[in-house]
This record gives sequence, structure tokens and C-alpha cells, in this order.
Amino acid sequence: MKTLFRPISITLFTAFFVVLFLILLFVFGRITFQQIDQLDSTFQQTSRARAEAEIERGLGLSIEKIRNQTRLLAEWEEVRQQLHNPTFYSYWYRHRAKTNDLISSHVIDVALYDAKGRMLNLVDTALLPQEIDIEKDREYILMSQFEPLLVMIEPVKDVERDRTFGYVATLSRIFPLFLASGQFNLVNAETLSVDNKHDDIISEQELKPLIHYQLNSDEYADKLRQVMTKTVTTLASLAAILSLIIFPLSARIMSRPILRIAQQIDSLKNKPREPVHEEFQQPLLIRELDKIRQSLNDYHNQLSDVSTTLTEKNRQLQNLTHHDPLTGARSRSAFDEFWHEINDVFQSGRGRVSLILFDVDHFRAVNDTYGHEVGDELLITVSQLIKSNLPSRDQLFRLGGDEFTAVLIGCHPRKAMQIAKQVHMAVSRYPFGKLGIREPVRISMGIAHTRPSDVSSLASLQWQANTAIYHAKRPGQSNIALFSEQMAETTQGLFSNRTNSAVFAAVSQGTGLMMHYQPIVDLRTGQPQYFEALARIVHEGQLIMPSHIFPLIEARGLEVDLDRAVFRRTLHDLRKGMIPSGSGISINISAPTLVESDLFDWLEEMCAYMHDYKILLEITETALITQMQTARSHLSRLQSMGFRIALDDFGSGYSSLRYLGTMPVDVVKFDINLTRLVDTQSNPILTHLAQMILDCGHLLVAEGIESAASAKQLASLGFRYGQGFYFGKPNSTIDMGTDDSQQINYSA
Amino acid sequence: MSIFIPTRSLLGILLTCCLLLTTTPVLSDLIAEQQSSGFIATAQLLPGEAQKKAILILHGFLQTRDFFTVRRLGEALHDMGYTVLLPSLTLGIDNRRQSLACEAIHSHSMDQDTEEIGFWINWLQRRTGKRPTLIGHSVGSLELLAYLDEEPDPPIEQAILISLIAFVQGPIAKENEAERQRAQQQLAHGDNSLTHYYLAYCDSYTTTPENYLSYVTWDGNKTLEVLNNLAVEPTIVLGGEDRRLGDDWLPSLRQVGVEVVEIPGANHFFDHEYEFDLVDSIQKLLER
Repeated sequence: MKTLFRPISITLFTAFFVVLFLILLFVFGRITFQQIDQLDSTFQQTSRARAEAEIERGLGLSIEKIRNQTRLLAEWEEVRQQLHNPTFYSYWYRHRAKTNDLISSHVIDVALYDAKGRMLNLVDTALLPQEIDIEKDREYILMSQFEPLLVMIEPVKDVERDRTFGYVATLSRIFPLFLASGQFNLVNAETLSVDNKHDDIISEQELKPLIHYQLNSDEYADKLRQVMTKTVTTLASLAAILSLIIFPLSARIMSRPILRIAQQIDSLKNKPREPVHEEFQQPLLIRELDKIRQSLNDYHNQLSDVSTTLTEKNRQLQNLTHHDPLTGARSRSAFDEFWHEINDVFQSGRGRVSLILFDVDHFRAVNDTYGHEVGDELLITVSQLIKSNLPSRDQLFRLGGDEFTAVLIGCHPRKAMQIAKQVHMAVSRYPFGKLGIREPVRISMGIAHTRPSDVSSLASLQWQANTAIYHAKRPGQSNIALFSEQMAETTQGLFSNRTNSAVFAAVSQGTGLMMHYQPIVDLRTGQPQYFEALARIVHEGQLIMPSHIFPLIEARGLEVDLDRAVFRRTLHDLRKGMIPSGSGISINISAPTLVESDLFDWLEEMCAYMHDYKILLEITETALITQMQTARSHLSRLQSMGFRIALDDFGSGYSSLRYLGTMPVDVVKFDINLTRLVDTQSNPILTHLAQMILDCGHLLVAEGIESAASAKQLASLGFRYGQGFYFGKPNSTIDMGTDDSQQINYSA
Repeated sequence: MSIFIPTRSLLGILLTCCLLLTTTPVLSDLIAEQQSSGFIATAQLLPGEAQKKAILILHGFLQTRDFFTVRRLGEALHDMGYTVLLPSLTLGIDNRRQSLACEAIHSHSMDQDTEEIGFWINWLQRRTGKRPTLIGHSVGSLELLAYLDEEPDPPIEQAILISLIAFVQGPIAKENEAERQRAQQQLAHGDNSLTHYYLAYCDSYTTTPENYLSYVTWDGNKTLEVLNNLAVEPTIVLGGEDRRLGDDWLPSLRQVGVEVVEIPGANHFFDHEYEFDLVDSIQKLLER
């Protein structure tokens, strides 16, 4: 599985965490200092607010004090005396107004006004007004050049008579009084100042913003800040120092042992079979890590033991899997590995490689006829005969069943052909009778070799050998075939996509499938009695020949499907009346179809035509080898249904007589090779064989009759029916009107 | 457990209770009357029993009726059933309620004072239908004497002059003959402007020469002379320890044949325990 990240070493991790810790420490310190600053700012704001309150309170008290003094002055009877009789006001103003016990030294001027607000006499009062607005003026602050001055005006009243004598006004220095108010705890009184830039009349509220001051230092807050700053700095320094100490310590105590374990693991991985290095035998400082080290060593030792055991077992298993226990030849898996290695070595195309494929002809028949033990002995014998003719005994592989192959490296094709011939001769000469096998044992060989000019030939070497052996096994061919380009073209035609498509369409849907009918003639009358239905496939207007159809059918295991399609097609032709009524029809059945349980359902529809037609089912005698019991049972049932059974290609196989003796057969069709014996010379074997079969009650049919002489001679031998080009080639239509003209003319 | 109260504490408690009793508010009327000078003069009337005497008590120099000597005496007599009138001279100040500072402008004169005294005597007589008894303290006694001197037949029942003092007399008198002459010369030169003078205990008594002379004229000699010629013989009450008076003042008074009651140990103001001695003496004089 692909990991999402690349593992990181513990040293990097440790460094990362130290850096992370230091960053966090820095951030924490920064936040703490910010919080201290915020706290300080809050203190400052609170102090500023409280200082403002102090200013306001001090100012209020100062003004109140001046107001009280002015009020006392207004209640002073000498003031009332002057308002009543201002004759001596100037004197009173100079000597009494500002020098009495009622007013303090902050009052720098006093003036009296009559009931209409006019000053009693024009005295030298530069700052107090000569006339006041009795409706509005009460108190205000006069911003002089040097300091703010408070002008306070109070009415002088006669309470009993509820009348106002006049007004008294005081001009006071408010700032000294303000400073002497003693209200300042947070305000630094020494720093108090007033912005005197304005020369104007303002109110008390307007004066406040003009008062400037500095705050007294808050010793508690300052001390707290110092302590907090020092504490945080100390903690941060300690943490940083500790982290810088812990890093090398952890590297010393933790990282190094872990790295050593990691190195140990790498060493075990890279050199798994080597003993634990002495360095890794040394104990580690950390107990748990040392336990891991010990466990690793123990596991390594145990794995080494297991590995040794497994290696031995593997070697034994490989030996078993790479050699066929029966024949001693190398196995199919060994061949695959060997072939893979060859491909790696010879992928450049240089060097010669020859491949010989061996196949025992009709081995299954021998096996079924003489039993598996005889078959095994046959395989052992054949393998030994092949080995004895190979340059090296290790060059032989058993691919399965009766198939063997030999890979010859650096071997010239002629040499390979020579080896094949020697094998063929050795097999031909070997007395297989001592194994109980009475029939001659033949072996087919396909040879293929690489061509120096073709790099890809090695890859197709097996296919070439298969193709060659397919040709070697074809009737009338030599048992040894060397692959050629022509052979390739033929085979490629057989297995071409076009052929594949056509065959599959025919057997699955009946598309392109058509029946050609070849007459089977009564040799006594020359009249066609039967028509053998032969499957043909027309694809894109071209006829695909049987030589191309049946190898593909056998290779793909489509025998049952083809037979079923043939049944349908033949049934179709019967319905259409394409076959002359009263004649017979002969249909080939493959061995797999014969043992198929649905066979009776498929053939049941044909029973309806039995009153007009004789229906003969031809069984290839080489195909009857397997499932003998089932085949016999099915044949008996077919006979009971009204079908007649013919043993086809009699004489081409190995067990003809045995099958004939055990199978419920009505007709025996002699193979063309057997029939041809008649053309050459009188053959007593054939004569007696025909007579023997006739004596057993079977009708005889001869295939491959190509001349009137052959037909006459075969008829004389007791053959009831004949079939061959002499009587007619397979054709898609049957000429109903020419039946009489096809009468045999033995004189021709 | 016994409750122990110290004798000194018990005495304090009793004294406090007495003070509370003596300071119990009395029913009184504040009388305000406009004088011929145009000023409003006020007096406090403490109505007493109808059969008892009506008494006018006059305060001392530059003081008011609230000066403790006259205030306590007046309330004590009122408590005894006497009708008491406590006027405050205007001293040139409308509706005056405060004592007047030495340094203030003094626009008043002895004549204005005696005129106001006469006004209140008449007012009391009209109010009570009785001839009032006059009681003065210090310069107030001198001003009553001046009134008696001006009135050949004053409508009074009796005159008691407490701590009678004259100007240019006694150790505290700062005015002297030279001052009087200075004022006289100013006046002779037609200068009646405000001037600082020495008068009584004042170092800077600001007034006109005319007004100044109206007071300083009443020196010891004139006082003794007037006493000797009064139609109504007053009784003089002096403190045995009154240091504001000269040593020769008591002998001089006795020499002119006026009745002098001396209260031993009392000072000029009869404060502390001598307050009661004064009241007792006055009561005895009233009950004659």
C-alpha cells in the first residue's frame, strides 16, 4: 500500500519537538507579555478615570469652597452696610473688602454691585466686570494669561424682607486652591498644569479638559508587572535551557539506542542470513529498548532457523515440483521457469533455441484399452527413450499427459531433426509388446527453432512446435514435422478470427451452417440408400472447409454444440423435404455428444420422420474410447428409439474389434485407408475381416470408393453399401430426379 | 455586679443636664423697627409674666444681643418671669446681626445709639405698659447712661449698669487725649473724613472725627459727672476682678455716691460660675 507520508527519523522528530516547544514558549511568552501590557493598559485606563474623578472632585471642592466664601461675604453685614450706604465704598474696598476673615488669600478681588448689577463705585478691578447680568451671571472661569480665575457672584439678600440689596463678586485663584485640596492620590500634583492658551470665559466643565497632569506611578502595578515579567522571563529561560539540555540528553539516552535498533533492523533486513553483529549484542541503556534489541536478536535467530528449515523444505519441494515423479522428467512448472529464464537470456534474439514437442499417438486409447498401469509404463519408456537421445537428460520436460518437450539451446535445426528421427526410430524399434501393448506405438514430434533474424520467434516457439505437431498428427503425414511459414499460414487460417467467428456463429445460432449430403449407395443396386450429412460453414460467401472447422471445434471443445446445430439443421432439411422420402440419412455424432444426457431430447424430434426415413447415427470408433459404459447404454437406447448405429472409420483406430464386440452397432463403415487395400491387391485380411463382421450380423459400408472396380470388388466382399467420389461428392442439394442415373455401372 | 460612676463623671452629667435646661428655646418675638436714620433695628422680646418687670438689656461695644453675658442674663431673667427685650444697636448697619469689627467703617455715633435706646424704651413701655428697667453691660451701660443723661425724665423703672466703663479710662483704653485732640482738630478744619483711631480695644477704629468724638467725649470724668447728676440713680454691678477697669474706677464711683455692687472674683464679662452670681445680684436688685 502506498503510504501517505515518508517516515521521519527520531532525531528530526526530537529536533522538531524542541523547535516546536521553543516556538510555543515564545508565543506563550509573547501572549503573556501582551496580556501584561493589556493589564497595564487597563490599570492605566482605570487610573486615568480615577484621576479624572480626582480632578473633578478637587475642582468641585475648590469651587465649592470659593462659593461658600463668596456666600459668607454676601451675608457679611459690612457688605450690606456698603450696599446701603456706599459713601465709603472706595475706602471699604481698599481696606476691608479683601482683608477680612471671611475670605482666604486665594480671593484676589472683590466687588459689590447694586441691585441692578452696577458696580457701586468704579474701583480698579481689572478683571471683575463693571456691570453684571443679574439674570445670568453667577459663576464662571476667566482664563487669564497666567492662570484660570474663578469669578463667583452671589446676591446679597434681606431674607426677612425677601429683597436683594445687591451682589458681591469675588475673583479667586482657583488653581492654588485646587492644588491645596488634597484630593490627589493618582494625579501627580506636581505635574498639574493648565493650558492657558485660551483667553476666554469658560465654564467649570470646559476647564477640565484644559487641565494636564501625569499620573503618579502605581507602585503596586509597577511591582506586579516587574514580578510577572521577571517570572515569565525566568520561566521561559529555564524552559529554553531545559529544552536545550533535554535535546542532547534525549539524543543520548533515547535517540541513539532507537537509531541503533533501526540500524539493527536495517542490517537484519539487508543481510537476513548473517548472524547478529557484535555491535548489536551490546546492552542498551534504556531497559525497554534493550528488551526490543534482545527480542530482535531472538526473533532473528529464530527466523534464521526457520529460514534454514524453509530453505531445505523449499529445495525439496522445488525438486518435487520440478520433476515429474512418474517419468523422472522435469515438470511443467520447471519448464515454465526454464522457459522464463530462456526468455530473459535470449530476449535479444541472439543464440539458437530449438523446441521439440513429443506426443504419444492414441495414448488415451492405449490407456483405456490396457489400463493406467500400462499407460504409465508406456510413458516411462517413451520418456527414457527420448532422454537417451537428447544431449542432456535434464532437457526433457513432461508437459502433461503424454506430451513431452525438449529445449535444445545452441542446437542447429538439423541437429534437432536428427534427434527427432533418432527418437522416432528408438520408439519404433522398442518392443512395447513386453508391456502388453499389441498395437504399434507411434510418437509424433513437432519441431520449432528460433530464427536469428526474428527477435520475436522465441516467444512463438511453443506455438510453432504445437502447430508442427498438429501437422505431424494429421493423417498421411510424417510423424515428424518441422515448423514452416506455410504451416503457419495454414494454421493461422484455421485459428483466424474470421474462422473463429464463423464457427461460433454456426454452432451457437446456426448462422452459415449448412449440410452437404453425400450419397451412400447400395452396391447391389447402385441406388442411394442413405445420404451422409456433412457439416459445412459458409461465411461471407465463402465455404469454410472441414479441415479448418474440426480442429477448431476440437480445440475449443465445441463438439456437442456443433452436433446439436447439425441436428437442427438436418431436421430443418427434413422438414423442407430436401432429402428424398424413403431414403436414409446418416448423421455423425462425436464422442462427447454420445455421452451427453440431453442427446435423446435433441433427437426425439427426428423420430417423427422415421416412417419416411431411415436414420443412421455414425459413431467414430476412435471416439468411443472414454466412458464406454455410458456410450454403450446410450447407443442401446438410441437403437430402441429406432435409430441405427454405424461404427465410422473402422480400421483407423486401435480398438476396432474390441469396440465392435462390445458396442451395439448395426453398421460398420470401413475407413478409407482400409478400403484402399482393395485397390492394390487382394488382401486376405480384409476379406476375412469383412466376412467376420458380416457373420456377426453387421452391415458393411466402404468409404472412399473412387472407381467402379473398387465398388465391384467391395461388393463381392460382402459390402452392402459404398460411399465415395465415384458415387457422388458431398453437395448442398440432392438431385431427386437423377437417382436412377446414379445406378452403379460396374462395367464402366 | 455593682455600677460605679465616678463623682467627676456624675458632676459632668448633671452640668450637661443643667446646660440643656438653660438652653431650652424660649418663646420669643423678633422685633424689627425702622429707625429715624432709615436703618432697620431689631430686638428680641422675651415675654414674661405680666406682673413682673419689663427689662431692656443692652449689649456692649460693637456687640449684639447675642453676646453671651447679655444673652444669658436676659434668658435667665426671662426664666424668672420678667419680660426681657434684647435690642441690637444698628451701628449704622441695616438689620445688623453680627458684631462689628474694629476695622469696619463705623458710621454710627453715640447720639444715634441713645436715640435707638430711647426708641426701644418707649417701644417696651408701650408694649408692656410698664416703665422698663434698664440693664446695660460695659459700653452698653455707658450708652444707657448717655441716654439717661439726655432724658431729664426718662420713663424707666430702674437702671442697673453692669461693668460700667468709660472711654479714655482703664488699662485697655487705647484712645487718649491726643487722639481726641486730633479728631477735634480734624473737625475744626472741616475734615470729617474716615480716619483710623484708637478706641476702646480697637487699634484701628475707622470713623469720622465727629462720630469718634461722640464716643470719646464720654470719658471717666464725664461719666462720673453724669452719674452724680442723674435723676434716676442707677445701680452699678462690677466684677471684683474686672481688669478692664482702672484701679481708681470703683473708688471713683463710690466717691460720687452711686450704689455699686461688687461681685468678688468676677471679670468684666461675668463668665463661668460668676454668671449665676450676676443673675443672683440682678435678681436681688430687681426684687427691691
